[in-house]
Amino acid sequence: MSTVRREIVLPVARERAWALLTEAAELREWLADDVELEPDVGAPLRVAWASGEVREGVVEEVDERRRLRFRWDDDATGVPSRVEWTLADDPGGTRVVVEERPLVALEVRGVPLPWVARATGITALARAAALAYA
Amino acid sequence: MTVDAVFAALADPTRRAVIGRLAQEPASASRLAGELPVSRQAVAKHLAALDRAGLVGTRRVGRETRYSLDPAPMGEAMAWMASVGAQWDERLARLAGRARAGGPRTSPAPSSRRQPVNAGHSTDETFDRR
Repeated sequence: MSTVRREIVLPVARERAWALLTEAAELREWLADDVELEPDVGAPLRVAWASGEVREGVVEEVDERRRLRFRWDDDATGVPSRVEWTLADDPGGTRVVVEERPLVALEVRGVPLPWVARATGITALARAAALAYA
Repeated sequence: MTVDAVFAALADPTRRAVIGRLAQEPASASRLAGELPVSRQAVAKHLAALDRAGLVGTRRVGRETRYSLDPAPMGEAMAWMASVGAQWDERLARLAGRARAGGPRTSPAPSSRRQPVNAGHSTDETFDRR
């Protein structure tokens, strides 16, 4: 499996961090240009960017102030994925771990796919390659 | 092996054709030359370049050397991770800016949605080779 993992410490208390991650008005400030999300299991999710990209999904797990998990489709890549945000106390505020993993097996073909150039540009690709070889 | 070697190897269309062919099943240099519009010598040269980049492996079967694709250096899984990882880097940089900006009522929205990725978060990334 291929999992993307990122970690960040936000200089705010857990309650504020949870609001930043689950209130649509906050999500519109950092996740996408338009976000419809309710932290309720089974709630539909809709995320849209000014570029025209739209992703739809569903909230799968809610553990108030600890964890939010959802899945969304990605028409640009054709790869649906699952995203999990995990919150924990940290001396610097609140530690947020983001994990995203594909819900389908990714083919390994040895060559970059056409969508890669559109989605990332070669810079991001090279960066990931550098990470993988580090 | 370097990233440069991988990109150099993938830059050549004939080598990409060789990779595409090997993705289906392992083959000898002679067989590749028979199926692709290149000479046996050219195939050998390209296979050597792919070997240096770590993109192919070899196995002796009887008297012939059979080449197979080693997709680990560059594949769809990695491409997906690069794309998704870059997106989260951007989003989390904006999230950090939003968190630093203070409470929801006291701060204006960030003026730019394209802030630099400098939020002090780690870029820990896992890539499990299948």
